[in-house]
Amino acid sequence: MKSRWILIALVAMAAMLFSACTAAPAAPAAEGEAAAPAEAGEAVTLDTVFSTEPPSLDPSLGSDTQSVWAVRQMFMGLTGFNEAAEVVPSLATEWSVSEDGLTWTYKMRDDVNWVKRDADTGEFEDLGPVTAGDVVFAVGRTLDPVEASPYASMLYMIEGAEEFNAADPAAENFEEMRAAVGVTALDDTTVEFKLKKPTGYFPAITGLWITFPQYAPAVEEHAEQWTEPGNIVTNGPYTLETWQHGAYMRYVKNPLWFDAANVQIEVIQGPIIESESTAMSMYEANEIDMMADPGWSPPLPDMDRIKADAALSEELLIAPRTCTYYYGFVNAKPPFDNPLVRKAFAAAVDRQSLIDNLLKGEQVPAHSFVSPGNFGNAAGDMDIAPWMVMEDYAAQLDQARAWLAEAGYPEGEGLDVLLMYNTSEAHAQVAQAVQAMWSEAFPQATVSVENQEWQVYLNTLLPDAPLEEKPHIYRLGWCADFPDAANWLIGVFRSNSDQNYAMFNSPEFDALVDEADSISDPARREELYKQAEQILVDDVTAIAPLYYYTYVRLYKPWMTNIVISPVTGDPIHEWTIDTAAKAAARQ
Amino acid sequence: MGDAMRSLLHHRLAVSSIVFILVLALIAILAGLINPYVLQGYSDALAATNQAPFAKQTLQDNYARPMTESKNPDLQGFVYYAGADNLGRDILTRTIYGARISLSVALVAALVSLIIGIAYGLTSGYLGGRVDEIMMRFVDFLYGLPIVIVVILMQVYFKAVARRGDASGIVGVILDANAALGGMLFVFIAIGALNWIGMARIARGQTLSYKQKEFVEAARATGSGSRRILFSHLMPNILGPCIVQETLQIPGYILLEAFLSFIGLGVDAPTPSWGIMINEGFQALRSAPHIILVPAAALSLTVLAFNFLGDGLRDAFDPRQRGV
Amino acid sequence: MLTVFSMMRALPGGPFDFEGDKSLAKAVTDNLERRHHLDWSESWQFVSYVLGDDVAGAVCETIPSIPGCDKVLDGYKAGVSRGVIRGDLGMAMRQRGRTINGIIGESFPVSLQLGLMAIGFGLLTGIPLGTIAALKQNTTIDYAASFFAVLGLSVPSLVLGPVLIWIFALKLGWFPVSTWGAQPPFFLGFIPAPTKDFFMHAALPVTALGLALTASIARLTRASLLQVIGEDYIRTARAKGLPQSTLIVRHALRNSLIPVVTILGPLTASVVTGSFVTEFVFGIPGMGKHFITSINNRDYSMISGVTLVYALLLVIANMIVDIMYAWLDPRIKFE
Repeated sequence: MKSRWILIALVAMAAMLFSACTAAPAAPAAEGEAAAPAEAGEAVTLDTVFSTEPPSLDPSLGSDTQSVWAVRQMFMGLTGFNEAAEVVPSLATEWSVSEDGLTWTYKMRDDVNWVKRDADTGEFEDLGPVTAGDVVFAVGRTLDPVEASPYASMLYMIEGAEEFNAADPAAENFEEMRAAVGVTALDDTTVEFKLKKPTGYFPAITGLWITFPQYAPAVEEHAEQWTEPGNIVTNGPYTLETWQHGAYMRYVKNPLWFDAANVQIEVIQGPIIESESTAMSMYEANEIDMMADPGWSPPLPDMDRIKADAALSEELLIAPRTCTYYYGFVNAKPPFDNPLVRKAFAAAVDRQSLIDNLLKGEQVPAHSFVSPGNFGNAAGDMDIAPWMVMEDYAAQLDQARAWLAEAGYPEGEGLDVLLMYNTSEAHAQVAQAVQAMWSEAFPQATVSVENQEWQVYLNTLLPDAPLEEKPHIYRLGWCADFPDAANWLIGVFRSNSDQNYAMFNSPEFDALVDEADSISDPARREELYKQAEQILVDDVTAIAPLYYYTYVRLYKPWMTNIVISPVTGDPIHEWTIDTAAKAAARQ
Repeated sequence: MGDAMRSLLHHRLAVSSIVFILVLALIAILAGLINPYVLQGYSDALAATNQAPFAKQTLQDNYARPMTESKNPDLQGFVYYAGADNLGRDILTRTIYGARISLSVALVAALVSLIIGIAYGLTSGYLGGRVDEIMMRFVDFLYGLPIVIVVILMQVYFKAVARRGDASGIVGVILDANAALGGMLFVFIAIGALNWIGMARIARGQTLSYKQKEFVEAARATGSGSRRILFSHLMPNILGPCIVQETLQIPGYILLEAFLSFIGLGVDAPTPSWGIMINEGFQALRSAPHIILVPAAALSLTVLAFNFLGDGLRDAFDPRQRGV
Repeated sequence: MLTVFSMMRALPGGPFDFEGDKSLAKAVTDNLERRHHLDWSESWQFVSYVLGDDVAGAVCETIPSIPGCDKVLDGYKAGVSRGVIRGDLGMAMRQRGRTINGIIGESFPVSLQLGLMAIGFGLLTGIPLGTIAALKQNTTIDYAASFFAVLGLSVPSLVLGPVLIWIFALKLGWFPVSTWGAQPPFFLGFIPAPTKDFFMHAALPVTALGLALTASIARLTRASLLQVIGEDYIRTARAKGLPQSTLIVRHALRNSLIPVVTILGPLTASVVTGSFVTEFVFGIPGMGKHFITSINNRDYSMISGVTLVYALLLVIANMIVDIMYAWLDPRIKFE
């Protein structure tokens, strides 16, 4: 009998321990409403899933798709992007640049207000207009080394920004350095940026979430907890209502938004589901309305069925996306220090077959690095590396074999090549397919593939990592942070770039992209970027671009007015839902 | 009367399990000679390149249904008896080659765990006292070690060594073996190295009980050294129960390999393993359920066979538990 | 713990080297590392993790000549941990502004619910199955049950989960596809409100996770029951004319459960780790995913925290097993 009591005591003890554990975090707000998401059936609701927990909803700190998607629903920045990824007015109505290209001035609208949703009552409180000072505060916060924003380096073209971001917080002149950052509020609706050097694409930078205005009193009052429901103050079409960490999120419409009358969808909600296959099952069971950001794309193995199915094929939507998938050559590693070898391997990939039989998302075969949708891209310009995307693959293959023979490796004799990719099912499939293509093209060559776990992989590839540990060929993709070739060509392949894993080094290329960076004449910039691409992909062939990404998505038929932005963060406030059709389908 | 029936049945099950495992091992070893490509007379297509001949990839044949013919002109007339996977490779061929990995993990991990476990348990039990206590505490601590970290570390280290090219002597031999297993040798060793704990417990318990027995006392009295007592007297006696236990753990190892493949720490592509094939099949379950069928059946049957074999062995070694 | 601590730091790649596909600027990485005291020497990081930043700071204030103290003095005031000793597992590195206590506090109860229900499912189905098999020894029922048991052990949960979803959620539409039906706050920290919604959501994942347990428990029950029935005291009781049902339930079963209880400890451990796949497949917000993602992210404090909780769980599970052991078998006494 005694032992039974001990058992009971122990269980109780354990229970207390766990409850103490759960009581510790800041109690998630709005539990009452959250507990019954089904009750809100009358509101126009977009049901989706979230593919992962957003690491942060703070505009200064977000960096991944989830965070950026959420920030774009809740906040408005000075500029935005339209369907064609062009910069359009958002919070700013107009902007201008000084003669020397160093000073940018933005005029802001005055009818956008800060809004806070009370977690207990569900009431929205108007906290006054968004001012130029809020933009200055946000930019300063992004650059503050104490905040340690991962994307701070995107703003280094602003005067004093790099110095402030690299400063030691304990330094004596720390506050002076903060003040020296070149962003000022001239009045409540005018904000001015002073740059280190002329930057033609600067309006795209002010469309980045890290420059979106923030409400200083909320940030100062709640510190790191300011993005929790009930604390967060936003100025966009939606605001955060519930965030059960790791489990469930719910956004509601901001009724005080300046254009709220034209926003039909009132609620965006969903659980966090980390398996795309499970999400697809939910979609097919009518539990969610779409397979799209912030959730998942339809899984690859289901693509054939989706295309063959009468209903699902109607729901399929494919749109361009500003990303490129490429195989890079480690240019310094023999035998890939020979451009002919690189060209041969770049040519011996049947990109169209890869897309038709494996990827199935109507991706576009790539023959340049910068993807369509970016300013200064050369995709489709057949002056650049046409031999990568020939109609007649047999002829392309002959060319590849001829190059390799010319380089001294007929049939690939004596070649032992390692292709490396980061651990992932999708990359493994492309790697295996390409490996088989190369083995058939060069039957005497040995091509092996190896995968490394992501962090290990990137450390192996870093330009200053030991050459003998590197593979000959590596896989990577690049997605635009802002849709301009500068983000691609300078950001990745300038000789001093940290991401230049190919160890590509061409002074001529550097000179071209530097010049394009410092002028604002669009025609001239386009021309310079094209020349740079010519060197990178065709003359030197530092990399083998494989394809330009597409968004592959499914939307239920009751989702209407779908507008997709090629950059992350679709304007859901412009979409509509046929609620009657949705309710009928869910019966 | 019932006993005899049961015992016979159990022996029959155990015997058929042994036969099954032996046949499987034979298939795995001879995979290069008896896979469908060779049997159907398409060995040239496989041998045409310098690559490991796991299965000919034909992208046009992706997700081919069972019993359909290949669309590849080089493979005209070739029949996919179990269908093809997402890259257009014959599933039957890959399942046959995949047996190599699953049986290797069974063998390598079991050996490692057996050797470490027995050595540790024997030492701990034989020395006894304070040493025994400390050694057993250490075992408890190992329970909490996250296997994923260990596996990543081993893979990183040995792959870096391999690429650096200073692989000579024994290291070279080990690395060759590793390459043959699709880069998994160290993972298998890690699996074994993390599963010897139960083995050590059993070995220790057995040692403790045998240590007091007359024949050990007698040996000690006649002046046999510790080494002799350990190896000639204790070891043979504790080996039996340990092997039984090990056989029962083998299904766990095979499933663990499948789990590691699932989280992306499996064999290097394109080496096939059942775990990787099941993972691919799981994703395609809704649209192409045939992909998961053959590898899942192979995995389940093999695990089943090892389970029956373990039961049979236990009966043989421990008649008291007959019927378990 | 020191092993895990230094092992994870031996892994190539730190938590802040990269953001997605992109490597970070040096200044940015430095800022992030300084935030989490990663610029301290490893031994000081360990001191701060175990004892707290203030302790590390106080030591360095007193004896600034200890190697590595300059960095500690720079940063200790912006504390990240009050020390494991005081129950603080530190700040998450990949999720801004979140504490490990918070993250584990919200995901662990869910895993515990799933795990306990799976074990309950295993016991409730496994013991009767094993008992029936033992009583109907060598009949078709026995063979069917035994075969089912071994089969349950042999089908990986990776296969079972999706198959259950496919059949019962998509084709038949009986259960929702995924997610967890319980929301905090929980009674006593982990007991959810027993709503219909909760059980509907729980049915498939609990089955997927519990079936392997059913199998091993049934096998063990059958074996040990057969053994007990053969022993003298049962024969005596039977000779005394006790009814069969009383005999089985009150005497035989109770004793035959001892081996079942013994394996519950290891089973708990396997359920907690094995729940990773189930949670992934069914979209359950439990702790399982942190085992893998924290390592992929190199989130040092999360790795340590999860490992620690896991170890603690094992200790508690083993303690409970010991106690149940004593309860079932009066021959074992507490010391």
